[in-house]
Amino acid sequence: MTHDQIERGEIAELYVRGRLKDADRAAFEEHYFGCDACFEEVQRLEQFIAGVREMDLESIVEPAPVPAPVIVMPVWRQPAFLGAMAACLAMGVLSGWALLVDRARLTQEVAEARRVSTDAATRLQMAERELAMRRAAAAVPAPSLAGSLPLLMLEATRADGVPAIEVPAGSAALALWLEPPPAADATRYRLEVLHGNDVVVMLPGLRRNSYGALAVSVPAEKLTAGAYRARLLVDGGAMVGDYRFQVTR
Amino acid sequence: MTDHEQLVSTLHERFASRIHFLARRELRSQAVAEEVCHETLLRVMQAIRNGKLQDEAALPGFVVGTARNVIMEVRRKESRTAPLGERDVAEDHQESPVDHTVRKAMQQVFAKLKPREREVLQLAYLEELPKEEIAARIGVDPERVRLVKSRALRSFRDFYERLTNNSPKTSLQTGRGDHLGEDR
Repeated sequence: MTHDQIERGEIAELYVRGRLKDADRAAFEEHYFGCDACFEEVQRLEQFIAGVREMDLESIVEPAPVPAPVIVMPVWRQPAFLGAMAACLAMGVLSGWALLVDRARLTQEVAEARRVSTDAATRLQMAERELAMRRAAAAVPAPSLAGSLPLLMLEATRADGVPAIEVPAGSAALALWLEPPPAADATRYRLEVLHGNDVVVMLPGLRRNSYGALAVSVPAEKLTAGAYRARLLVDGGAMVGDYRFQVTR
Repeated sequence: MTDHEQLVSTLHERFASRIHFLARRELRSQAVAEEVCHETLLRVMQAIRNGKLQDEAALPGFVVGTARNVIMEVRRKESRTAPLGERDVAEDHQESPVDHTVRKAMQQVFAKLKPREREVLQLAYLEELPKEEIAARIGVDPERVRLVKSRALRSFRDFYERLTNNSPKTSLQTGRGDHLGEDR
């Protein structure tokens, strides 16, 4: 299948909408497995079409323009109007004076409100991080027995010794959460898990999630009870993190 | 890096996202797509090491064929398992392609579209009408319908790329890992 055929036949869109015949679908899949541009196109199309379907078009359709009301003021209302304007002006002056006098108190109240809001934002951020970790763990099918995935957060330095995690019998995987050091701002990482001198798990091509962390699932069958070391490397480059943990069963 | 590690890394770099994309579309599950991805790469790697693939040009076709086989096996396995009520498992995480970035980009696209252009997109993608019928309904040339869709897509692509270039991305990555040192 050529690019010209794909463009003329709007093949990518038909593919995303599930409207290609089997032979054409297979041919297009084989094409985009080898073509970066077409793979990019098909991903954007899928997002675009799904995005259009999700958009609530009613809410963003422009409302019909409402004609501006025309106000006709009879002659006898004009003095009354002027009087009302004068009263508004007086009120405005009084209000402004009250505001100046009360400025110090208001400034203090604003500062207090800001502090409360910052505390709330910090608590929200921590809660979101916790939720992201739990969602990441839930993205992997849970073992049939316990229904929960063991999750361990690895840190390069820990004041309270080597972290330990119990992996229940029947667990399919262990989730590891790592935060690469800020200095190591690479695009892709590789994680190696060692038991003694043997590399028992190697996971290349890891990318940070929206929290800047790496969330990784390691098959439980690879982790017997014992001491482990996890080395974090820039993919194809230097080591940027070294973590230790203990597995108990 | 050893040859083996290099091979793993290269295959992953070239094909993981494509396999994952295909599997997610077919199986509607992020978690199962991850498993299909790793199983496919494992089989491809084994085939390469066993000398079953000599021509690199044939690699994309081989990979997609292997992925389709793995997907079929998953489907057959799922159809043989017990009904959901008899299993004590967590629900698979089914992910839509529409995330926060896509929504933001779509909002920006739609804010710039004229009402008639929005109508074209609605008729094309919500009501799934062919472009000739859309053209007849709103009184324009079918080519104009195609142009509206194409421009909206281009606009979405631009906004999306701008938004993603400003923020890191991703999600949980799962894997079987690779038991180094084993002769497969």
